[in-house]
Amino acid sequence: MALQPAAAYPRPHRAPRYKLAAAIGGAILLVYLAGSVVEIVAFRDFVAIIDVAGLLLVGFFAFGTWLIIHAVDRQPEKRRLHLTRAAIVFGLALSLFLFGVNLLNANLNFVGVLLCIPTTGFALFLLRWVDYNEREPWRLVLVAAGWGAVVATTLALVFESLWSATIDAGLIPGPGQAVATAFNAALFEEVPKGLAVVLLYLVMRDEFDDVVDGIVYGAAVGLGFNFMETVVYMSVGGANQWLFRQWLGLYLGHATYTALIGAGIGAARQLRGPVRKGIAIACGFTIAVAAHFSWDAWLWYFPQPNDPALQLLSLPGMYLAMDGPFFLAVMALFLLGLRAEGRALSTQFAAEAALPDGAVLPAEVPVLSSVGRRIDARFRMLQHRGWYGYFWLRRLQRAQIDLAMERWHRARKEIDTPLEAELKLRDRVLAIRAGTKPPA
Amino acid sequence: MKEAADDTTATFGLLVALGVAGIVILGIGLAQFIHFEPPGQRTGQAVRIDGVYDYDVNNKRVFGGDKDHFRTNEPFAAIVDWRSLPPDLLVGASWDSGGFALDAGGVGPARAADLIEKTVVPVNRGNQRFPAGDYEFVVERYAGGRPVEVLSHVWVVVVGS
Repeated sequence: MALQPAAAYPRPHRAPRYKLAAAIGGAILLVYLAGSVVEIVAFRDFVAIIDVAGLLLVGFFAFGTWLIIHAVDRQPEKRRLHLTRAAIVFGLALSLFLFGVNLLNANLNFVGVLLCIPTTGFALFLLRWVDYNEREPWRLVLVAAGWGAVVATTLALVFESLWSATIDAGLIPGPGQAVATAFNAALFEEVPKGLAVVLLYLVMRDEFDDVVDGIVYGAAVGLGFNFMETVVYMSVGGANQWLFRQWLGLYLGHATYTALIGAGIGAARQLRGPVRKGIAIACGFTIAVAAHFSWDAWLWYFPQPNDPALQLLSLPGMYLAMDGPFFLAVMALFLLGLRAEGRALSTQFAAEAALPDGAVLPAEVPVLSSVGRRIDARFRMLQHRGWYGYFWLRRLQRAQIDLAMERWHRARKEIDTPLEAELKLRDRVLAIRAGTKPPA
Repeated sequence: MKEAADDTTATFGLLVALGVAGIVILGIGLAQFIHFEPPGQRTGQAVRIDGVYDYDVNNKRVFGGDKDHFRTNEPFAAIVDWRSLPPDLLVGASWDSGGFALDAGGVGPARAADLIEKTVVPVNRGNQRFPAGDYEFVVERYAGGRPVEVLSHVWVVVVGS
């Protein structure tokens, strides 16, 4: 593509008065924003909320448009980078808009948002932490949780309302209608949540290795959904809802259901043949919908004592009885996946160490093969070389694990990237070991 | 890599077992749904519900205009025109509250002709206050001792006072 010749004066002279006008405009915007924020905090003013959200949205769209102009006109050589950034900015704008819609649905329950952030945040941290062989990047875990919180909840709201108005409304109140309502919630909440895992599986294949990763992403989506659902339910049900949904049901509800979907998709990542892949994904969705359905449809058969003290015993029992078996199923799948990962990594570390120019030393194989020894080695490095040494070794170990994962997928012929990717990962390990800047 | 194939086999087997369990659970739900919502029961009959009004518990009368919102300390009742149904039709009317459709009072089941004097159907939760939430008033046709068809219904909302 021929580039147009540069203009004789690419940056024409602008009189100082334009800068002054821009400064005044910027100051007006800042004062306006600050005033709106004060009004929101002090008076919970609805119009001020719309003002701030609208300005942020306009800002995001303006920035995204500026990035696209750069991609196609100003810096076409960096087109991919600018377009990726523009997509992220537009995604943030859409997320902000959907978050606003959900917050309105929750009667602007800001207190609920503030109360649920620590519990959901800790749950996400713990979820990522137990995936000890190869932790998923925070950005993807947060994207998954964000999808659950704003996209899945919005889709569920739309389709559940449609079902209620068309199907439930004509049914006889009682067990039959309860079953239909439960199926409505199970289907139209699990499918939008599961779509996030499907999209990650399709787009972020490098960070989606197996059943373990599927469970982590699925549970993250569920935790996000549970976050927003708690905020909404707290707006009508009060603090009890926070206790039930952010403590008792934090991992046992939506996180468990969507983790089952993730397990199916994650298993499909490594299964051979489209039929087995399809069966795994269908089984994951089916058990997730069924688990969610059984909670909503049959919860009312569980004894509900009137005595508050007995309720304290009854409620955990209810969660354990209704969701416990499905949680155990997720744990079984997770442990199977971790064990498979561990064995595969050991095999690949040993194979890499056997290469004459391998990125793993023979002495490192037993250390890398055990999570306990990996951590122990990092702390020994901390004692001898300080934090710099600790982080250096952690970076080295992670790069070696990335390489072993790549080798594992290549050995199983379940990878669509060229061999060059493996070579780059090996170069990266060698560069970290040598203390030079690793290749991008 | 033989060991990896074995690993996926165990995971796949467990997933298939869970999928079968899911089908069984949903199958039980479908059976329950068909039991309580038997197909082929639609007659096309409809009953006229004149509206929902404030209710004077002492005089057992309604007052004011048709409303769709009440407070937790405001009793309310629906007015049903039973004459709009065939006299021999076996029917009942009930109030249900909340997502679990908890029983909140009603009349019947009885022949429509026998209910003509019971046009006022108050909500009844056993006390003077009504928990906030959605309340559904539904008139149903009965057969075999249980409701089989919805003839008409109306919703009201109770809000905290």
